[in-house]
Amino acid sequence: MGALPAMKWKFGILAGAAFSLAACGNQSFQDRAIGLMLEEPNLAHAAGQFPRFAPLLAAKRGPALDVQIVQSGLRGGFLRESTQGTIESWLGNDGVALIFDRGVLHGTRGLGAGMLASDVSASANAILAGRSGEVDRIHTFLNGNDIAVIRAYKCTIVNEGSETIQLDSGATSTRRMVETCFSLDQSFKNIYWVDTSRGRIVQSRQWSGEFVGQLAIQTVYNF
Amino acid sequence: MRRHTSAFFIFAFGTASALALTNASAQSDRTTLSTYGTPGLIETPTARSLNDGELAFTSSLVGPTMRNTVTFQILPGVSGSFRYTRIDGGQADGSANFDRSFDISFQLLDETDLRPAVALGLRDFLGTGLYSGEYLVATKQIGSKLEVTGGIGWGRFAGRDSFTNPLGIIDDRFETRPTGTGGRGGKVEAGEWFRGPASIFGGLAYHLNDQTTLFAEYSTDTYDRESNQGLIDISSPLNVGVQYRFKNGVDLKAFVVGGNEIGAQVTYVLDPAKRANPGGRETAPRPIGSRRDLALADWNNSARGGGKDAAQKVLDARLAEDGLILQGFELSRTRATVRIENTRFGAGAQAAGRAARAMATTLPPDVEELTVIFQNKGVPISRIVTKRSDLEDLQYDYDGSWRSYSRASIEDAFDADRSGEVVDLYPVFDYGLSPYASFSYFDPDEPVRVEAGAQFKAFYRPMPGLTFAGQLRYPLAGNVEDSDRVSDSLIEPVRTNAVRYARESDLEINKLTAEYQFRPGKDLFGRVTAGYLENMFGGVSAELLWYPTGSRLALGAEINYAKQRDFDMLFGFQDYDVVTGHASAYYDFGNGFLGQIDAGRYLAGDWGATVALDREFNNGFRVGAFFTLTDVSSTDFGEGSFDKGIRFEVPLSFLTGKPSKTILNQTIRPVQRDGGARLNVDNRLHRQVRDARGKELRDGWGRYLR
Repeated sequence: MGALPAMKWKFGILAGAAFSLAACGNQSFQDRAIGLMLEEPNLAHAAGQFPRFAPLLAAKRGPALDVQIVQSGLRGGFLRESTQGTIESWLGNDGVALIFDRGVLHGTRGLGAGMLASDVSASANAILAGRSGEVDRIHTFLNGNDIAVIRAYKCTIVNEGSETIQLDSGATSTRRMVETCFSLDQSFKNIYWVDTSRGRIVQSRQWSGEFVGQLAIQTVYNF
Repeated sequence: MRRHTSAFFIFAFGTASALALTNASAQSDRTTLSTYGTPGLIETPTARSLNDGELAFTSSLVGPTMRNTVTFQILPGVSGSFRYTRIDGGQADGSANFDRSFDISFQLLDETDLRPAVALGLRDFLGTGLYSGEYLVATKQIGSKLEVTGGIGWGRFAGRDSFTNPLGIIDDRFETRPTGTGGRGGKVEAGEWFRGPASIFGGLAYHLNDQTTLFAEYSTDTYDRESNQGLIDISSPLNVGVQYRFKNGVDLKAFVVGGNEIGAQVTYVLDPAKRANPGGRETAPRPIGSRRDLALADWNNSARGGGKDAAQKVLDARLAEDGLILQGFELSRTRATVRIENTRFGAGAQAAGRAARAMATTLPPDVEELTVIFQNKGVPISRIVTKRSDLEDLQYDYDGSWRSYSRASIEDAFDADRSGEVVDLYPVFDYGLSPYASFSYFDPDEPVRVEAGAQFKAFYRPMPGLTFAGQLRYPLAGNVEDSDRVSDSLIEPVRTNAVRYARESDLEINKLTAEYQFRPGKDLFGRVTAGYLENMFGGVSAELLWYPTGSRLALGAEINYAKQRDFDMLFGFQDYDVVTGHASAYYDFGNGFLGQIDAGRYLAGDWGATVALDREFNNGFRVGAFFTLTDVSSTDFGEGSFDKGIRFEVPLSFLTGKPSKTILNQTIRPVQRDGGARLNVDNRLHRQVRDARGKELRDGWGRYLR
């Protein structure tokens, strides 16, 4: 079996994502019109790549993440910008960011409901250890009234056994972990595929909050 | 300072439909609104209410009558409405009659399993009395789909099958309703309330499913005046209707009133606490990495030409990415201070967080204490001191907002001198050419008048606080000057000559001023402005404000000498001049309620006070009302009896989801007269300073780590 011709993977744009669900029409025209009528200062990088992204891309320290908003189909690429302990901040080429604790979604910036921060350490521990069981997690969302709202969830984690998935680097054997969480009025289901040889989450579907819902996240090694 | 942009956000209903796209989930679950734009069936009220803080826009057509209403749920149990009505052919000469009215209603009892909800309402309690009426109404849900309403009404509600007022038991006076008090309108006609005959009204609402509701009601409004004029045919007390709720939150209703009149209505309910995009669309802040890596950065490495100047250059660029202008920088081994002017973030706390992050990701590792000073026109307002290690610890903490607030300190920055000022910062010069549109409302001949054209603005600032500014406008199109309204004022015509100003001007010099702002002492702010202050007046204005940083209370005083400008809006003056000024108290009651009282002398030389109450949502959306009572009698004042109005402010970020200091604002006065008129000088201190004071910073702290 010959190797597949290498398909060049591209960094898409997610900045419009949060908004495009709510409004239709030509966004850039609307922005320009507002700018003109209301004398809004223009953002330097209004079009094109976010300035902090270029050096990350040039450094080529991989891997990258391919992230898709399941509801809308919009997708974008992310590179790791910073690490502190187990927490990693990943930047999209349009300036939005996703924050993970060992691959479990910990925060969002410029995308979705505004997940300011979380405590998902118990989930990450169990998922990486392949351990089924009950854990708690906490998410803090910035709501539409600029108030940080802290919410706690009860979660059940189940090890569903091994599964081979296709990544751009080839077939990868993983352990499929499913986490079902609920609070009084919210519930969601996350799925993680943990690469058994690398010991890390290489693919996942995770809830980002009520505004855009599920994100489909996949590791990309060649970009 | 926030940029206030007038009007464009109108309570025109095009705006509501635009909002509908962005705020779809903002509707209250089942409260339906009547043709009067208040909770009701078709024409009759119910005892339901909107959710706290909701704003409802309703436009309805019944026969020759078009009613546009905005209703605000001021408190969970109190709502207020403003309505603008057009009755085609309503005047004796066959032209349209325009009417403005205010309602207020009180939720007396909430519904329980056994008891109905009960509400008391006063309709058109300030106007000329066209719709004046009072009601007491009860609504009870039966099963999951049916709601039953019954009530008793007085005034306009007692048009059909009326009976002797049961309140006559208390006092015989209740049995007759005094008439002929309408007059100029605007008065609180409390002497009429709940008097005269009464009638019973009621009806049913049946919720077929989540989208569709059916209505049937027995209405006691007989439209006497319109019927006598042959404008409407009311031959039955029974009205029926159907309403459909679209996914985007818009309600559309069709109905038959009085047996023959077909009508329609569109309603949109907006929740100001829900912005278009809850988390905001702005890009991610810089994550704070390891300090040790920063020791290796070129700008911190003296062997590679690093040092304070090199670090400042990097810092300046990073602050600029977030719309923060670096105006001063001081660096010692363990401490650093930046002075910034925030041009982007409506929430000051977010600007403070971004500035602190820029410092924590740039400065040498030994620097631990980070101070951000907010400046306005180069004048220091407040300083926020943060420990760098707290930022590092809390940037990913789920309770980081509160914890970072509790560890930060917010102080007055009156003592900040010009040390560390960025070289070549002054002079600052900026100008811009843009289109503009200005609206005026409720001219009896034309409800909305608009003028549009080109606007040129420029300012020059040679040193902190001193600003020379100008604004010119050239109107290109509009119908303001088509009005044939001439001032009929019995007092000095300080505002009622607006049409003459529009007609006799060509190129307008709206403002041409020299302004100096300064800090006379701790917690004190000062402003002196001289020149052509506003469209109709020029002169000198001086203001002093006392505003401790964490205080709920602020006190101010302003004194002005104003001389009336020529109608051509160029350099000349008319004979009239006046010394005007106010003492002001501003108080933050908490829960978003802000009160303001200004007492003093107004432009026409009248003495009195203005009382204002605003409800400000945490995200900056504001709805408020005000009134002014002065020693001008209601006869001399003219139509409306005294000055009053409602006002709205919508942060642009509420609509776009992007950070902005621009606020769309609109004040709506039923009528603009000359009594109780204030000078419109720019840059009054309280609003400018408030965003960077402790209470407002605290309210916005949810965005500190955003």
